[in-house]
Amino acid sequence: MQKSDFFSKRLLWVTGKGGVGKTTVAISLALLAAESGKRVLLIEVSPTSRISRFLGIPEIVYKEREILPDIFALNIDPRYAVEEYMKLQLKFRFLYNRVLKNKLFRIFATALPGLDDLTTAGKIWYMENLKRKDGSPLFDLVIVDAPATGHCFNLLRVPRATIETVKFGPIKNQTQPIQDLFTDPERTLVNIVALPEEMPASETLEFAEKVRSLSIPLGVVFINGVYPEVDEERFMVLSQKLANEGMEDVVEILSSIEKKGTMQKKYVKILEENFAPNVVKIPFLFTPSFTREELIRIATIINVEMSVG
Amino acid sequence: MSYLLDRFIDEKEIIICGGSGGVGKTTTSAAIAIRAAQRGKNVLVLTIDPARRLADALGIKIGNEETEVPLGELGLNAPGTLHAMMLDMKRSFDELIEKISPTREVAERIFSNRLYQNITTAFSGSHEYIAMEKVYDIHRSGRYDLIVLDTPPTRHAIDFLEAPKKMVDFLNAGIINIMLKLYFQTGKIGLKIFRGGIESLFMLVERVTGGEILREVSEFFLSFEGLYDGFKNRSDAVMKLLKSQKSVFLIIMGPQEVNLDEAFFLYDKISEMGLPFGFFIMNRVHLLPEGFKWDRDKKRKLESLIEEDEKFIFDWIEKYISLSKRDREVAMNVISRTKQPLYLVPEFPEDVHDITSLKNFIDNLMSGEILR
Ligand SMILES: Nc1ncnc2c1ncn2[C@@H]1O[C@H](COP(=O)(O)OP(=O)(O)OP(=O)(O)O)[C@@H](O)[C@H]1O
Ligand SMILES: Nc1ncnc2c1ncn2[C@@H]1O[C@H](COP(=O)(O)OP(=O)(O)OP(=O)(O)O)[C@@H](O)[C@H]1O
Ligand SMILES: [Mg+2]
Ligand SMILES: [Mg+2]
Repeated sequence: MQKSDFFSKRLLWVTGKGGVGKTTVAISLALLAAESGKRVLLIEVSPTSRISRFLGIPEIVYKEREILPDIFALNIDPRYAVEEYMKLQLKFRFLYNRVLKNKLFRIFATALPGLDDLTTAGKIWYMENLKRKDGSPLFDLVIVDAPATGHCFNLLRVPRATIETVKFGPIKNQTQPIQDLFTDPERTLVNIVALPEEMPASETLEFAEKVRSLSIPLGVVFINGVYPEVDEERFMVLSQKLANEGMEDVVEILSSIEKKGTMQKKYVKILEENFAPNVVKIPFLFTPSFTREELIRIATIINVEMSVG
Repeated sequence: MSYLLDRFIDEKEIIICGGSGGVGKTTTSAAIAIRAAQRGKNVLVLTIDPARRLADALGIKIGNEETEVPLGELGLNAPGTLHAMMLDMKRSFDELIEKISPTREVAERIFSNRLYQNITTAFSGSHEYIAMEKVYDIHRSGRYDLIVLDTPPTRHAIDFLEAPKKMVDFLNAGIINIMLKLYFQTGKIGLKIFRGGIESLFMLVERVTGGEILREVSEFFLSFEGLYDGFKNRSDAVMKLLKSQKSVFLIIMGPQEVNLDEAFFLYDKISEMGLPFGFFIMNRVHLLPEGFKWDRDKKRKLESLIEEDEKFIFDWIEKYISLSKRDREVAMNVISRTKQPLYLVPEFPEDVHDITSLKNFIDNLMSGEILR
């Protein structure tokens, strides 16, 4: 997918199995978009704020703030999302306080199936929909550092499930625009981060199928942590030569890297076969720590890959 | 060489493998179970969501079936036996309800409630709750010498420890039901202290959803009224078993710095709750060959042996060294903070997907370095 197409959307989801690099990719995309002059909102849906840790900045909270030039960020804690929603519904402040301060309220909210997810989805829509005085959108692009695929699927599905369940009334009317946004290929893309390994790769195929079944548009599959590629035959010759010279320990290190790369090839191929041309490969960075510098490097790599096509 | 793990295998009845998502909990659980079978135990590994390739290789079926893994056929001679079971959440919940329901009708009424369907799958903590419940059940049956429990991939590794209490608290919300009943009967709630707050909440929910949901919530709690004690008793018994010396908790973690917070958080919680802790396993560590030196002589010699366009291997080696240094630092950090032992397991080129690679995994764990 071309960069211009990709960044012309309004809402980019970044999901994938646990620990595959969702937050890494989401921040990198935000950096890229901001660099091309967009005002970006990065939404984190996670009980612990990872974005702040990556960037070495104070905790990201429910209220958005500018964390880098033209990049705003907020963290959706579903408890606050539920509260905020209720607040919007209750006309009088004193009622709101009485309801929400009640211990039983939380339990009740848990009992209402999907309320957490619905209000989280609602908050994402609400932020996307914010306007300036002149009617233009407040943010040019919203990027969601989404939860892992299982929970993310619930978030993507909840508007549709709600509409099907309640059928009419205010909730249906409020949910319809969320569903419209999520299913609109002009505005929304669900992007998946995958490692070139067996389980993440097969889960990616399954998840993509499930997203399609919701009529929600799929974007790019980011294959993360790709090891360097080497010519196997030449590597064998070289290893032999080094081993003969008593450098077995060097060979051991090199071959652990080479073998991993060879193993990955199969899964890179599977992912490419299924998702090309919407595939972006991100190399494994052999760095002891992961900071802003590495994120910029990844952003640059994504930029090059997407510009080539 | 360390025999701490073997000691646990011999002395404990339950080994629980916790940790954040994707760190290798399922792999470690299966590998420990293999070790136990090799030590002559009859062991069950209760896994959650194993990689398909691994499940296929071991012949594990979905749906609460205790399947014997034919170790001999798979090329592993072990005096003990290995069973594996993949937890089916919904089925386990249904079984539990059947067990604690006084009559078949009560159970049926609960099964047909839409909220029940939702709670067994969507309520945060329900997976963890039922996993604990299942362990308790199997343990009581006495069918195995040892149960190895793989924990579910939770957003927070801690969730599974808090699940039993959360679940019981939730079901104890019968008080809501009393008020709902009053609300439906009289249109308002009699209890003075709740007037206003809850009443306006109910009105609100009714206004936006059309009342249907309220009725379902009410029905749900009504059906559960008589079952609460059963739930509470079992949950207490589960916690008691986990706190006893029959159980031990292991924490699996990755070598990146980001793993530290979550591992410490989980460790603190385990200590706080008085649960017996075993050790940490740091998985996917970049190990250097024993006695590896990267000095000027070595570099010079290497340089003389390779072509100009093979220079990239210098880069590889140096990066690998820095990764392995990082891993060691993170490991040392864990030890100095917790004063607990830590096992290192290397990153393998290939994912761990069959008996041979599980065996390799556990051999590496056993013979590898243990830091303390
Ligand atoms: N291309 C890469 N090269 C090397 N390491 C990487 C790369 N991408 C990510 N990582 C490492 O993987 C770790 C996990 O990445 P990240 O936090 O982005 O994953 P995640 O999918 O958001 O995790 P979670 O599911 O916990 O939210 C990072 O700390 C980083 O060290
Ligand atoms: N030391 C290792 N070297 C290489 N691959 C490994 C190693 N340990 C685990 N893996 C692989 O990593 C993947 C994830 O491991 P595993 O499924 O055990 O993690 P998990 O903690 O159970 O994940 P989840 O939280 O999703 O349940 C598997 O494909 C497994 O084969
Ligand atoms: Mg993340
Ligand atoms: Mg697992």
